[in-house]
Amino acid sequence: MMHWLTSTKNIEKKLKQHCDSVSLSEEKAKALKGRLMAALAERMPAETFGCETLAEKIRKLSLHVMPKEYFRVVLREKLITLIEFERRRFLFRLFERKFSRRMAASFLVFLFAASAFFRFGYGIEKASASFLTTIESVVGDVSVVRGEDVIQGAPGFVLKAEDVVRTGKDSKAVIRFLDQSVSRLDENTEVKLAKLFMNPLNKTETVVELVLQQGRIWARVINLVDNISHFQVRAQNTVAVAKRKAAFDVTVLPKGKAKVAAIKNKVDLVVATDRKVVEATLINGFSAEVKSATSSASPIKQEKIQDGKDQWVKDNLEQDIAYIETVKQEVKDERRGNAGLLPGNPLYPVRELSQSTNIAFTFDEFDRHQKMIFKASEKIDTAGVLLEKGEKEKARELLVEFQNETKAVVDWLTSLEGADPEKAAYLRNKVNELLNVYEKRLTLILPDDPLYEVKSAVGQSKVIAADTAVQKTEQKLSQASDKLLEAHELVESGNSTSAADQVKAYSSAISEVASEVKQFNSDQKEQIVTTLMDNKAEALKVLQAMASGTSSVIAPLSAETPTVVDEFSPSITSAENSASFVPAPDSATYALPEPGTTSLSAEVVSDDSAAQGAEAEKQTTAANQSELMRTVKVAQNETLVKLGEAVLDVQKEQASAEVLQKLQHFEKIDLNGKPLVDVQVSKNRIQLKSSGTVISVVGSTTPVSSITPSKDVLQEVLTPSPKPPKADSKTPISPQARP
Amino acid sequence: METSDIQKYVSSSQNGDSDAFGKLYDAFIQPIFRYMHFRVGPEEAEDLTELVFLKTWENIRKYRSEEGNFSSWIFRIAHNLVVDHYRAKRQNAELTEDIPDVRIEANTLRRVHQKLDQEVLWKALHEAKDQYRQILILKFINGFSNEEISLIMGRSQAALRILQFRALRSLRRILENMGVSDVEQ
Repeated sequence: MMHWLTSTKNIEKKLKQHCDSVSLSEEKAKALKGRLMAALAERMPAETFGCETLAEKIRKLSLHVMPKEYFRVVLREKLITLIEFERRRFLFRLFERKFSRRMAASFLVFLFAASAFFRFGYGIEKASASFLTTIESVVGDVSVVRGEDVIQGAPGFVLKAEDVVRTGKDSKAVIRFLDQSVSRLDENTEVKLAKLFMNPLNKTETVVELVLQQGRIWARVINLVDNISHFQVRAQNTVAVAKRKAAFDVTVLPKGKAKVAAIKNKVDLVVATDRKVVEATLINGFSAEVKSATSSASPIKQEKIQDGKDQWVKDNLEQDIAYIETVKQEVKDERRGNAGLLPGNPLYPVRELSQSTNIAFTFDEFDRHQKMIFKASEKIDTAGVLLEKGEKEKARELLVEFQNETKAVVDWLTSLEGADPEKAAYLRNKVNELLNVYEKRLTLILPDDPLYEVKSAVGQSKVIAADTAVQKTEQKLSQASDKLLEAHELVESGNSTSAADQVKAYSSAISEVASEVKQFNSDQKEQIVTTLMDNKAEALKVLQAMASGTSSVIAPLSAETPTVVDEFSPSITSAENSASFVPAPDSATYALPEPGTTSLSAEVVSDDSAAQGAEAEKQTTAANQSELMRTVKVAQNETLVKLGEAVLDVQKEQASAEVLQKLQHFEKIDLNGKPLVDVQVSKNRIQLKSSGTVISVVGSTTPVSSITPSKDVLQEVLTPSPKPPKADSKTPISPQARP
Repeated sequence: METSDIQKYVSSSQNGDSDAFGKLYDAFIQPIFRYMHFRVGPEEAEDLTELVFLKTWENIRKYRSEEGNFSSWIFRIAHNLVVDHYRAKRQNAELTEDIPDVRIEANTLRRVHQKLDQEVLWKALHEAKDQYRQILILKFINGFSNEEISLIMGRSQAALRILQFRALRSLRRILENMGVSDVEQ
């Protein structure tokens, strides 16, 4: 028994030894494992192994997990700043010497937190304006044709270029454009949005072009600021173009005709016939019916609009008032949103410190100056809000800071131009774009608004930001024109006193520009003179529009007294529309009453004090309007004089083909069916006639070597020795009164 | 962000360009945060996310594109930080009687009908083993391919496929135990 047991144990032992010796080597085991794993993997049906739904659910649920915005921004700031610190370790060592490392780090964390807090907690991220063209409202059946699709039009529908908007019977539509203009479509109207353009590098540069295929459309342009920007409506063979501000009405008529009416400001018309292209300008209160003429006769028939007859015009003017208020409110809301914290708020200094630190720790000069200009521009909105609240002093301080900071950036840009012209041009464009955006937002602000100071500050900054002396002068010219447009709006709102002040401001701005231009070298003069001429043409149109709007209160005169030669004034019944009568600016031959006197004869008979009060008020209003009329007339004359001076100045050297072409073009400018200005150039003299006034400008006695006159030399030689001018001693003019 | 753009920003960052690093940050902040949220929980996700980017910046010059793409590399950093985090937690954790036994909790919830939502998913993932959790997050939450995951986790692709299968099966079982009835609907 014992022997058997021992044998069994021995067998087990031997078996075990044998089994132990039979084993896979490590390498073989590894290889086998690999093969097994690969085989198993191949046999697995799909990555989700039958759990597709679960996998999908996990994916979807996880999408909602996101870092908090505050955390994301703060961490980013921290990382970037730490990286910058590492790159300039010596600065941090300097910082460390002053504070302990822990304090320095804590301070940094606080600033990062503050920076992110103010960025998100107070909505410092600027709200961008809506740059879409949309249907604002619909009545009845309105549809949009887009390619081959016909879509029902509804409020909020975003329109694209090439869309055609159609209204059915008893239906209307209102379209708001990307440039903040608005159009209203009458029933049975079809209009194609041929072009809807906004320059991505300069969002204030916009072009809207519509084609009125049938029906009637009202267009209100409220705040175009760029020289390139325009809003046009084409109907039949006519194109009506508005720049800056205007309200006009276009109708497609039968037999290939079209009608355009200028209701506010002015509209330029371009009419193409099969023989020629005719250009004209309609000022407010005038309409033109255009036919596709095949004869040499003018295709344009212009006439005065009968006031108060057209319900469509009345309704649209009322709706325009509401629309403009809406836009003003949007601008106000945007300003308040952008302004964020105001001076006086306990957190304001913290925000300022945080932003300043952010800028200071931006070690790249270019980035730093970019941040500086954006920080400076925030002050415009803040100043605006302060002015709304009546805090003028604080607002003015901010505006001064804004201008100084803009100047600092521009000065740095000037120094960068030599080293890196591309970067300098890029940042300069950014500065200009920023200022243009603010300029557009403030276009609706008039001199009687508290925010006008902000508008002036932005305008002055645009001059500061201009690159060359010529560009600075162009900016000043543009702003002078703005004053005139503001004056026109003040006239329309009934504020004649402010309008007159604004016209005077325009005149003095123009005088300043004229003095600057005199200091230019010949190349610079050559560059500026065509801009000057365009500016003068536009100014004359606006002044004429103002005169036309104001002249209804001019007193009727007796037959013996020479009358005003304002030939466009409808109330003057016996205007002597003659070139033989030339009133000088200070001439008593103006039919306008002298300033300070009343224009109405004393016809008050009632003893009633209320009636007397009303009468007195009427007289004051009439006096104000007379003063305005006088100021407008003076401005018209001065505009002509400055124009003449500018042209003669350039022609001292060599006659410029471009200048002469411009002069010839001037003569073709049609204003309400009559030439805007008649130009006659002789050796050393230029004579300009506009609105019945003739201005003769004589140059220096130095003979001009090669002038090519555009017209025949004057037959009559005028008195050569100029009278010393009364008002402005700088002006070497000699207004001549022809017998 | 395209791979070529990532490579471009990585190269610039390696030259010290903070803006380029900012762009990389923008591209990866969400996926890294999501990874951390599901791996360590919402309370610690932010801290660890921050550490990931700090470490990334510190070591960015060591990154070589030949060794794999940048996303795998940054997630490798994230993975290692999570491992370190757990290690530190294990060392420091004080066991008290207050710590709930989640397995008991899961069983208790077994008969209560639950819908699969974020909170439930999170709990379920934390029920699962850490390597199961990791592969589920990298695969189905961060959307990495097996090749990329193999670089992150340092495992072969074949092993990962098996791990993935087991992870899904485990998660499904956990969810069913938690009373989630719409797992496969």
